[in-house]
Amino acid sequence: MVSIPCSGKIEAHHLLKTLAGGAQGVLILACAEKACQYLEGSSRSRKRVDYAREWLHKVGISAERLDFVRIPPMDRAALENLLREFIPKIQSLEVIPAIAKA
Amino acid sequence: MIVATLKEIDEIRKMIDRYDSVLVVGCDSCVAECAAGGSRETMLLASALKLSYMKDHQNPTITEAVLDRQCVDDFIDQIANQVPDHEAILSLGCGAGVQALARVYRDKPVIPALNTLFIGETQSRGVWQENCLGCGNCKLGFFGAVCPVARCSKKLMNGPCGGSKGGRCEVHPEISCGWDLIIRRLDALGELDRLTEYVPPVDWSTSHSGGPRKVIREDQQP
Ligand code: SF4
Ligand code: SF4
Repeated sequence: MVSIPCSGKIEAHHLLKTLAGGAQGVLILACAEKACQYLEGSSRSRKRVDYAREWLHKVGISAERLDFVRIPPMDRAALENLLREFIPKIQSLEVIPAIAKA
Repeated sequence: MIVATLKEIDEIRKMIDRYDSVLVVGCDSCVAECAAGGSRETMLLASALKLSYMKDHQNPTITEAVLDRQCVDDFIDQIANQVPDHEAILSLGCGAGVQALARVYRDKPVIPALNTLFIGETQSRGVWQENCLGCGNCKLGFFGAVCPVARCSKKLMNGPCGGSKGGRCEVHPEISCGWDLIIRRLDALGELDRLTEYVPPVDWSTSHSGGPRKVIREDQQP
């Protein structure tokens, strides 16, 4: 789990680097659009995740590996439910082979 | 600044697939501002290339580096210790950056990752507008600092064509009519009289049409 002050800080290069570094999927949790403390962060992050997905599509990797969900902060039950769905979904995809050299 | 866009990854891969190790080099000046070739895009492209090769069960070495400016030797030298470990360089600089790297690292193939487009400005976040063609004889003083060469589709120097509608260009309605902008701005400045001065047809010999150009300043040389 990586915490950041606002989902609006996430950009496509962070997500692709995480996958290229060995992660099989990334679940991005953002606040509801209208609840964003920084006003536009949550709507920006949505666009950036979509852009990262376009790149996955270009390189022939399932865009499902990146999921973007808006949930209320501190809602543990909602988070647990999300993970219960997300993890098996990623596990059902063919593993991205690891790269040996940096 | 120079405005560019990233090439499609398939095109880049066709050029670099033959190498086992590639140094991906960004430029943190103009092409960072237009979100095509700065640190972020270098990380994005290097990661996308890794994923693309991983998916194909291939394993080339892909290393990231970013220069503050890719068209000046003092900065280019900063990757001197990384270059020998790689078979080729993939440059996210503009065309000038790619060629400067190739001049300095003579024994390395240098492949462009960008399409270099134009001299322009950041008009708003995520919007870049062409506004100078580098004609070599700037006449902006006559035109309220709006360039008819770059911003009028017909490059008219002596007034609008007459086809402009609602401030849009008749050739490309998605852009503002350059002449509409010129007249409105001069009017607002109270300088419409500038347009009564005769501006001769553009002498293209000072532009790229006169052949490749070079500026030499002895006072700046060692
Ligand atoms: S007049 Fe020439 S130099 Fe001046 S902005 Fe236009 S194209 Fe550029
Ligand atoms: S509509 Fe305006 S910008 Fe377009 S060609 Fe005519 S004068 Fe030039």
